[in-house]
Amino acid sequence: MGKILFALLVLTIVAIAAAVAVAVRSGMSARGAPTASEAMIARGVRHERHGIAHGARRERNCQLTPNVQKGREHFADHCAICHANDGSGKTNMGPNFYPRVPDMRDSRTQQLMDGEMFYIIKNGVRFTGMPAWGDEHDQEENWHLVHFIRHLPKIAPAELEEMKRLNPVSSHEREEEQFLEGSEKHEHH
Amino acid sequence: MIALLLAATAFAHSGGRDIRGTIVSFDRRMIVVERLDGNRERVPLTPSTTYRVGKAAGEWQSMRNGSRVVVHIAHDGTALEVHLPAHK
Repeated sequence: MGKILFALLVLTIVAIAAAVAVAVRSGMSARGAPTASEAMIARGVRHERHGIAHGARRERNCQLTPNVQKGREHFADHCAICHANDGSGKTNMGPNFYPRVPDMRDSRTQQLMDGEMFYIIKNGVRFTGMPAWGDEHDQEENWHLVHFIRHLPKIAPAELEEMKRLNPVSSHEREEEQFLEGSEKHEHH
Repeated sequence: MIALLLAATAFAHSGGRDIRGTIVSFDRRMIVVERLDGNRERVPLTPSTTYRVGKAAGEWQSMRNGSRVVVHIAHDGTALEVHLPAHK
C-alpha cells in the first residue's frame, strides 16, 4: 500500500513538473492551438464518465416536438457571439479561445447524445470558454437549443439571414457598421 | 490562479486602437489605409489577423482597393481584425 502511494505521489509530482515545464516554455498565451496531446486528454476527460455526471447522458429531450425556431432565436441572441450563427465557431472570438470554439456541425458535437449536449449547456465545460447556463436558462430553453444544434448541419441560408437580425450589436459595432455602410464617423482610440 | 486569470482578463480587454478609412493598397502582409484625416497608415497583417465581411468571416483576399475599412490594431501595431463592408 505504501509503495503504491509513493508511486502515485511520484507520478503526480512528475505530471505537475511536466505541466509547469510546458507552461514556462509556451507561457500563458492562448494564441497557439492546443497540442494534439492536450486535445486528446481533454476530449478523453469529457467523454469518459468523469466529465459528464452519471445519468446525464441518458436524459431524453423533453421537447419531443422539435421547435427549431425557438432554439434558433435563442442561439442567435446568446450563443452566436462565440459559436457563429452557423455553428462554425468562426467569429471574432471563436478562433481566439483556448481551446478553439468547436465547429458544432462536425461529428464530434453531433455524435454527442441529447443528454450530453444538455449537460454541457447547463454546466459548461471547465478550462474552456463555455460557461454554465444552468441558472440563466430554464430547462425548456436548453432543450430547444439541443434541437437547434442538431439542425445546424442542414441550416438554410434564409435561416442564417434571419439570425443576423437577431444577433446583439454593441453601440461601437453599430457605429462601425454605419461607417462601413457610408456614414462618416471619426476614428476611435 | 484567480489573480492570474484577472490579469489575463484585464490584458485581453485593454484595447489597442481602431482606424477607419479607405484601403489604398494591400497584400497578405500589409494594408495601407487612408484615414479620415487624410493621413495614410501602414498596418502589418499577420497570420493571426482575422477578416470580417459585414458579419461574416472573410479572408485577406476579401479586401478591395477603395473599399471602406475598419482596422483593429493590437498594441504591437499589427492588425487584429480587418472589418470590411458587407457584400451588396
